[in-house]
Amino acid sequence: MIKNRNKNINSIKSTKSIKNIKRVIHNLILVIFSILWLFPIYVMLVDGLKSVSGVLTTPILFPAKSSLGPLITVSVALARPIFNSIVYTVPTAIISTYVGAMAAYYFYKKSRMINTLLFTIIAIATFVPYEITLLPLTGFISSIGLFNSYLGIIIAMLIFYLPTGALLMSIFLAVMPKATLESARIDGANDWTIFNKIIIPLTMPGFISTFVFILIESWNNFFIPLVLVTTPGMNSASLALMSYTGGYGTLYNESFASALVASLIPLIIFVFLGRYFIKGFQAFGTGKKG
Amino acid sequence: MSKNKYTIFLFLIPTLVFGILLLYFVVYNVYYSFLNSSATVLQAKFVGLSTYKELFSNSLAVASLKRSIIWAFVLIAGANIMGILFASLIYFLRNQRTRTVYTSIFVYPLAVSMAASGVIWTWLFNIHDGVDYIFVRIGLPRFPWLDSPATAFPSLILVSIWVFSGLASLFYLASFQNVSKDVVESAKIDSASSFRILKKVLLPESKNAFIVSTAIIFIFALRFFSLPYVSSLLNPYTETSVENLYTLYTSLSFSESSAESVIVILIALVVVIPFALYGIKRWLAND
Repeated sequence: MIKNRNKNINSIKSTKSIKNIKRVIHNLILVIFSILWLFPIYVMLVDGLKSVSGVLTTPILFPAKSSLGPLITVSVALARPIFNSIVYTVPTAIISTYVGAMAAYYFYKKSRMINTLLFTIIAIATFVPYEITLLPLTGFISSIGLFNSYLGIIIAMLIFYLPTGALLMSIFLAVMPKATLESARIDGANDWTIFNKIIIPLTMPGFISTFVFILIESWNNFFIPLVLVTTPGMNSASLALMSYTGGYGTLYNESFASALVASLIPLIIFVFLGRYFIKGFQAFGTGKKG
Repeated sequence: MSKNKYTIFLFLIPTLVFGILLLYFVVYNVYYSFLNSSATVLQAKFVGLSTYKELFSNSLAVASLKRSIIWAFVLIAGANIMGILFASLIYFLRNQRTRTVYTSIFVYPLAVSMAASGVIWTWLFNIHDGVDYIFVRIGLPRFPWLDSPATAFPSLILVSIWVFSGLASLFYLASFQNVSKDVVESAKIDSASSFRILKKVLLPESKNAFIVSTAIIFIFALRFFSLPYVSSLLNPYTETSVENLYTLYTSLSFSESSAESVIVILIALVVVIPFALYGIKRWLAND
């Protein structure tokens, strides 16, 4: 009896210790991959703040004497491109989300076959590799006299991100109970009032997700500014990075500082609103609305 | 009331106009690809399929098309494997907060522009100051990364796997969390290992995650431009098809560029149309 009980206790103890070992391994694997994944952040911070003597004496992987020098030089050079990026992307994201939501409201109200077709077209427009429109896009923007202009970039971006906004907002709108609309209509509210006073507030989390998703995607869009502006003063933040790609003989601290400065706004948005950004991606995939 | 019927259509018009503009661009490319417009031709005329013949005898263009497809498939394989790994590691964590933190760590590369990633990784791949510095110190051979035609393209694929694994893990994690908690708990009581639960319970329920991450990553992979452009400017060994059509355009081979655009969109549509039709049911489900 006693022997048996001891055996039991021992086996419980050993399964417990096996469980502990498993938990340690589990966490260890996660930590190792996290370090790998965060490595670019580490080098951006360590090397973007490295002094010139540090660059000459240490490799990229090791820290050295820090200096704000490269960060300041790069920030001055990137101030205008970052301003440009804000002008390109904030209106794009606001308009794509709001006007896209209007289309989503239309699809929500009317669900007949013809609209399924229209909706399919908009879904396809969202997923087209936008680079393939190079020739007609540059031709179109030039022909309306908007080559090298803020408005030209915004219009070009809207062509690609408005369908994205309509698609995402349709996904987020789909969960709204139709009864909400019915009661508003009985109260005599028109579509415009219902849209602004009921739809937008009730889909606010989805609205923010769509906005954040399009803001980050358009901020990181490299191609549209590349083909639609030629004067350096009109460069976007991503485009301006081209002058820091490095190569032999260049100092890497300014390269890392430039990557850091150009990514700062999307990274800050990701830190604070990352869950909305993630929901944007999830909506495409699983149709998860929450 | 009847007035109301028409005003609702106004809600659709702006999106419709931009959507149609985009479709018009696509159709325009098809039309343009049948011409012979280039720097050497004064008056472009209709030449049927001969621009396509020219395109397919252009070895750089053909190689770039193949490369884009290879990139998509290798990335799909890599990101799905890493995505399943990350999703299961995160799924078996108990604490919701740690889950969120790890998810953010694996997803954040998506928020960094591919151009910035290109700048960072070009330096990490530097054979003197980058990760090779450690390789040499611990006695490994110096790996050539972007410096050799054979390794430049695989190096960039690695960067793209770093970017997209987190995205795949999101879809798998969502699928895992849809599996009933009771099933997983009862398997645990039967002292099934986590690995067994993953294999027998979670993965069989993840077909949707696989379809979605594969389709979305394929679509993103066809768009890769700035990563190879920034890290190895117009290197023929890393050039993607959308980069090649840009090169053709800048070298004033306009019709050939359009023809390549048409080929790329055909490749994209093979995935996009079924995916859109598959998605619509889920996207618009009112549950």
